[in-house]
Amino acid sequence: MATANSDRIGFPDTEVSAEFLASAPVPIHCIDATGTIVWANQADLALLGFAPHERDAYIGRSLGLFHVDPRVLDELLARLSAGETVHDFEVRLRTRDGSLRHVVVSGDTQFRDGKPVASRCFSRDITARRHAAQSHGPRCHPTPTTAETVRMHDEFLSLASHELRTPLTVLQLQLDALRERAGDADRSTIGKLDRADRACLRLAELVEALLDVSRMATDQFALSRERADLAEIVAAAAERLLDPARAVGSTITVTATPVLGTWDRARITQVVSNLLSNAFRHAAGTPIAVTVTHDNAGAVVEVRDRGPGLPDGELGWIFERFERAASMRHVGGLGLGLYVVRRIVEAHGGAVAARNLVGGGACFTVRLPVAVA
Amino acid sequence: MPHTVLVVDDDRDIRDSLVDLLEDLGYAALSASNGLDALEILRTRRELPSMILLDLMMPGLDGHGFCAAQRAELAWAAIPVVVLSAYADADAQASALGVECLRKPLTARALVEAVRRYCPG
Repeated sequence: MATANSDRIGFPDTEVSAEFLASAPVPIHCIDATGTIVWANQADLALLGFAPHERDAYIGRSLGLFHVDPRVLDELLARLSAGETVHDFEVRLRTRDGSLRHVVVSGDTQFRDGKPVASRCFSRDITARRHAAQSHGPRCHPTPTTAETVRMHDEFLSLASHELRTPLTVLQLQLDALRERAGDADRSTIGKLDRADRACLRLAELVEALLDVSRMATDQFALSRERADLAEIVAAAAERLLDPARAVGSTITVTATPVLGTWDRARITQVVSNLLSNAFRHAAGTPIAVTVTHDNAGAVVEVRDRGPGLPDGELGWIFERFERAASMRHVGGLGLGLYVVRRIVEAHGGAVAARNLVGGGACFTVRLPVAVA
Repeated sequence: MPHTVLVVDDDRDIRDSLVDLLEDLGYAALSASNGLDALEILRTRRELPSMILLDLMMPGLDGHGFCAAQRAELAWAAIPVVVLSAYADADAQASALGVECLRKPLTARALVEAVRRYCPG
């Protein structure tokens, strides 16, 4: 409850808010900068096995007395005292009767003159869930709810994304540094750096595609639309790939009519980039033509090459799901990129198709409605 | 006196790569492996860095925690921060912090452009 020193540590300063917090069904406590418990509500007392009239036996004690893992507590206190808002930080507490409670803590710290004054911690008892998970054994986890599945998937993607991109960053920076120091080195050395650069870029693109596919496979994929000229987006995307085109002996020409609509600029750029990369791989050395037009049904983007075209048997599944494409012979190239293209285009309310051209070559057609889908 | 850039990243290879790159460009570079170490550097250095390159996911004190503590201290709050992150939603996280974001993997060119914006000359 609010006490005489409430102003000093930022406690509730009215009877109403004090009662509101004191009787809240969520365990809440405050600690000062030394880790001493200076306030707790009834639910917090109950969590640790104290009756309401035993408040004095709890308040004034060090938080460390109730934590099973000192290093975990140290980390929690360090993060709080550094100003971090902590969410769902899991700890193990020893209650008054010696039993163990698994608890997740969320909290933050109030500062005065740049110094931590008091931290407020909101706890949630997850002991029952922990016990349920353990009793099912390692091979039989309780079935997660849909929300939990999405959260777990999100966490995995976040971790995978971080772990895959981190070594790529090191690789890219080291290659850039080597290139800088190579200066006017012999052509053989420059050639080796060029190849390493391209491999690094390709690896980065594959990582992004894998992460995209993973997101799309579980419908965790949202567009960020803005009003823009599709012709301008497509032309800019194509221009960024002039160097890679030159490297495989191809040229890119863009013929674009302005089409105003509501598009996700980054994703449309990705569509063009993936279609052009596909042409570089399968129609290297041929001219590639990109057009943007519109008709009554909406905008039309076409990417045409003069390569060998698509085998008839592949036209039917070329944009199919990653799971199928991955088992085919174009793993890492065709399957990933074109699946991503299809999902992005469909998310815009459009459709994508591929056909072989009379006289040779392939044509990929993207149709996009101009109105918001 | 060259500008000093503080690099905060838990990955040693990234830290070393960035420090090398900055020193090659003529900047002075300091490095820390997490937010707590970075705060310690700010507390103990007589000369504050001109900018901070900050990773988000770090053990101990992560990038969000560091930013909160940095802004709570008047003398540090004005130091520009650029987030370097491999998070899928790095842009959104940096936007929530109100700072610029460079997504990993990043090129030396992108980094140099950002550093020169905050440390001209």
